[in-house]
Amino acid sequence: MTNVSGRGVGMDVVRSNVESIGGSISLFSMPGRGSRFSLKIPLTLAIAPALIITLAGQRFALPQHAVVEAVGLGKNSRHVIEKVQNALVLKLREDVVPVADLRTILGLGERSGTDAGDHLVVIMRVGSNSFGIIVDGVSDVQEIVVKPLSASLSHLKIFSGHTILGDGSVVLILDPAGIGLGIGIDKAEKQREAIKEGPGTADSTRLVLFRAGPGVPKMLPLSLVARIEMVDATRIERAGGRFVMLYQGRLMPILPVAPMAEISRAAHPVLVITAGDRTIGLLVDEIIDIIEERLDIQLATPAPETIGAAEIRGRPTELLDIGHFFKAAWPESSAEAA
Amino acid sequence: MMTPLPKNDTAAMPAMGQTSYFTLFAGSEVFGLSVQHAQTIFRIASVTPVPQGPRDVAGLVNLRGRIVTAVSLRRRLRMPDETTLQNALAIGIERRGENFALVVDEVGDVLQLDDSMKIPVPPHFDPQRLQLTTGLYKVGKLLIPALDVDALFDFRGNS
Repeated sequence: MTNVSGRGVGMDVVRSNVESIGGSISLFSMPGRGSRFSLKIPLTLAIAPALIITLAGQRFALPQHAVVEAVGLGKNSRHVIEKVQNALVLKLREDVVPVADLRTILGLGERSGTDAGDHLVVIMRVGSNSFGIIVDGVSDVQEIVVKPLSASLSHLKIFSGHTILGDGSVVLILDPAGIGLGIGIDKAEKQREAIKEGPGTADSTRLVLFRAGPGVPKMLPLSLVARIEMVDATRIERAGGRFVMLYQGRLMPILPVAPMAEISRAAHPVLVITAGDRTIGLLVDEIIDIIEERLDIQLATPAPETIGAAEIRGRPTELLDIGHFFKAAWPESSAEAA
Repeated sequence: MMTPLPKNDTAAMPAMGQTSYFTLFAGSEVFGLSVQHAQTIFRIASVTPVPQGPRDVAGLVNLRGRIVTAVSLRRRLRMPDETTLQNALAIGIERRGENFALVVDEVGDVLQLDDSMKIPVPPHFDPQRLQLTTGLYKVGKLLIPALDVDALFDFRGNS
């Protein structure tokens, strides 16, 4: 016992520790009955479901958020890994997925024999790229508490952290993005674009279809749209006779596609469009769909905010002129906005 | 194999100009490690190797719910590896906010070593060892190298 015993110093330490990880603590106490402590600790911050995979006698955790599926290999499997130009690929339904052996990536020795045996390929998706890694097996699925790697190991891009499993053993957490980089999937994007630009597919465009005001649906090429945000009416303010909102720390002009005096509804979708260092938000009533279509303007329209109309899914649809909206937002420098 | 150490009869608290050193053994050699760096001594239950990690990092160890990086003193000194890390003796050391476990063969007595007994490391020592020691202590007939804790856990250029 010391002169600070029983004064709540320990409770204060607990509270500051709980708060430092973004949690909270509350206390309910009744004389003669007892006390109830409620601790709230954010789950999403540190706990993630993960596959516990086995490899060369070791276990690793693979975060489930990147895992698409696991495909069995071996004699009774329909799936086979093929070697094409010295690289492994897996034919999976219609797709050809690049595959690498996790043993090779981690330097745990080559798998003996050409036969893949009863192994698994775990298909992962990072961004828009899919790839597979060959593992010996999946032993478990667990919720793991992610702890970052210490400074002397943090240069290893293949691991994102480590954790202690229920049985007290330490396992390393694999980083799907790091593995992907090791395989070289970042190059896939370019290749895919090169194929897309090739003949046959060149004239189809990804389009955002939306409704704004009365009349036919409107559309914009998706490539022009940086983001689509659902914005609360309370976030949009009037300044100098027009609408603005704070977006990523900057004021962004909000332009209703169909002119309106007041923001009438509680929330509106806003298409965020960036040109150079300027960003505007186009306020629309409703996003209908994102489609891939041949864009063929059949009819010029008199309205200045549209370029023309095209037939999309059997309906006339108006294509907006982005230049018009940039001019409306920055009238003084209309020349650049085109 | 233990090397007999000279008896030390001074009191446990170091006097002015003295430093308390653990004696540790790796291979058949003896080393000194300042006691102020050592937090705990424990036996390793199991080690999780770190593929692609620094060569001298033996792996990760669960020390009472905390993950610590185990470093093999033998590997650090370019001695032959331990046959097994199972149940190996390790010293818990915190350095630059990171927790390490230094794996050694054996831990000996604590010695109070006087600064006047310290001499610089002769330049013809192996460069790796030169880097990891702050000096040599003349203790009776023995020369005990004092380990440099900062250099011990710095793995730059160790892949």
